[in-house]
Amino acid sequence: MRAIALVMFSLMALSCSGQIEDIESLSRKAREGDLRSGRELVLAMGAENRERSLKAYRAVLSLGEIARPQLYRGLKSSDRRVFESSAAALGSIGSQDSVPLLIDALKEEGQRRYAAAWALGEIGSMDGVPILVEAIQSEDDVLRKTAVRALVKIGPEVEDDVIPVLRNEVDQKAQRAAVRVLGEIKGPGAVSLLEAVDGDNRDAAVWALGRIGAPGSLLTLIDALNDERWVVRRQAAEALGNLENVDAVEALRLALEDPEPVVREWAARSLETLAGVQTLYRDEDGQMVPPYNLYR
Amino acid sequence: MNRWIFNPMTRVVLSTLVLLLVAGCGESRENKVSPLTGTVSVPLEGARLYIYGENEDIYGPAGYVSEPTGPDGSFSLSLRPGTYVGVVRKRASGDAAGPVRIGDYRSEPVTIEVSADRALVLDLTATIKVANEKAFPAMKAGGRTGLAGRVLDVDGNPVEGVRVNVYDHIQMSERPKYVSERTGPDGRFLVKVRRGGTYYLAARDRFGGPPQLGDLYGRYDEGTIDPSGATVRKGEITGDLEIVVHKVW
Repeated sequence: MRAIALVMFSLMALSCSGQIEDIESLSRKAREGDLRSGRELVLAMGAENRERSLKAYRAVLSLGEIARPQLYRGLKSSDRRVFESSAAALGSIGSQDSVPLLIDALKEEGQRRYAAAWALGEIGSMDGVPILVEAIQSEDDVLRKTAVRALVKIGPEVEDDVIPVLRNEVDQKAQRAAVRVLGEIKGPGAVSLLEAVDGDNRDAAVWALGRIGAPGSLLTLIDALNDERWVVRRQAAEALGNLENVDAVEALRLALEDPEPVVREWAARSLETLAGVQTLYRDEDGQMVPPYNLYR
Repeated sequence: MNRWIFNPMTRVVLSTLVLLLVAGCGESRENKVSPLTGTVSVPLEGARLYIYGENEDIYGPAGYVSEPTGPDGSFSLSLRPGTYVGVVRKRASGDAAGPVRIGDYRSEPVTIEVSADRALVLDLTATIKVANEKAFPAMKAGGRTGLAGRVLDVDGNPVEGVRVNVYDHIQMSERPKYVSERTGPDGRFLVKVRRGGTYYLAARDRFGGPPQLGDLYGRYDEGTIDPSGATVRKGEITGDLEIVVHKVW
């Protein structure tokens, strides 16, 4: 009986010592090739204690390539924090070899998949584009937004993959995400489709047209200055400033009389950009004032 | 390149005690007593000197920040010739940025003239802050114009204990124009602003400087490089703004 108790105590002590082993020690041993310490370090990234978790994350990053096999195991963890940290660490380490496993991780329902999307964007592999395009059509808002950013980070090469989502008029959230990607990468092939976007996403489409800056969008944007929704008019007033086409000046002058102060303010800001002279607008108190410098 | 070098032995000193010594009573000439007063200062370790341009907001990010002072209170910085404003701060939290709280050390701002080829030696005094003289900008802004919403984590749960910083410029790099109170258990925030317009929002759990690894941080955006602008009209509260925060990786 005494022997059993001693064994139990020893096992508990061993288990406890594993939990409290400091990160520096785990990191040192992992660097020397100790697999158990490497595993512990990856698990520690998911610790409740924020300081320990951050220390472990830093340690894993400093291990770099050595940590990759253990991070792959982390992607299989049922602990959402370990999964999240492992994906993020792989993105920060930035090895192309991690891409297939991150693609698989992005399919793991119930996990914090946004971290895998973020990692794919950091690594910047075209192999990750199809799954990221799927992700911008997800119902998960965080995943969708992170996938938008990842595609933007990968760059203009994603245009052809994203354009079909822009055509999807049924799923408004997915279409809006596609609009954001195409605007950021300034995809010229998307201009005519963006000009045709109507409904709730018109403000985003107008923003994207301003980002792309195609001369042919001038009339669409001027037309948007007369949209019944002030959010669209405000976006058009901003976009016309980005277009750098002085043919927009007259329409923007008319927009200085818009009933919404924020539309008038953006019209004045864009007129200043186009004409190079300060333009006053009537603010919400009826005072003629210059717009403040938004880009200082 | 001409540069000014502060003497590395320059000391940050802390006023700690006013020492009042009264001469002992005596007779005749010795009947007169004379007060002897003075200040005992000790070097302040772990303080930083924050250097601002002449017309910069000293409550915003500093142009230069020294390394923390050593046990002897010394610091050293290299600056180009010019006029600057310097402030010493030491936060109990150890943070390099953020509000100076009661119990932290801070000096009065001092104007520093730096000219070429001449070393400058400064003795600065930092005292303990005993009371708050100013409130956060959001608390001072009155009226009924504002931005409201919730801060959520990546699982859609409300996040407690973060503040929403509201900027009126798109880079979101300077001092925020308004700052919310810390969110409660429901993750809700409300920031009153003085005027309607377009604002840019970020939620974070720490003050000042760029977000650091491990910080909780999130912007109001749709994944784009620039944040999304939140527009508010005068006299209205723009509500239902959702900001998702996650660790900075």
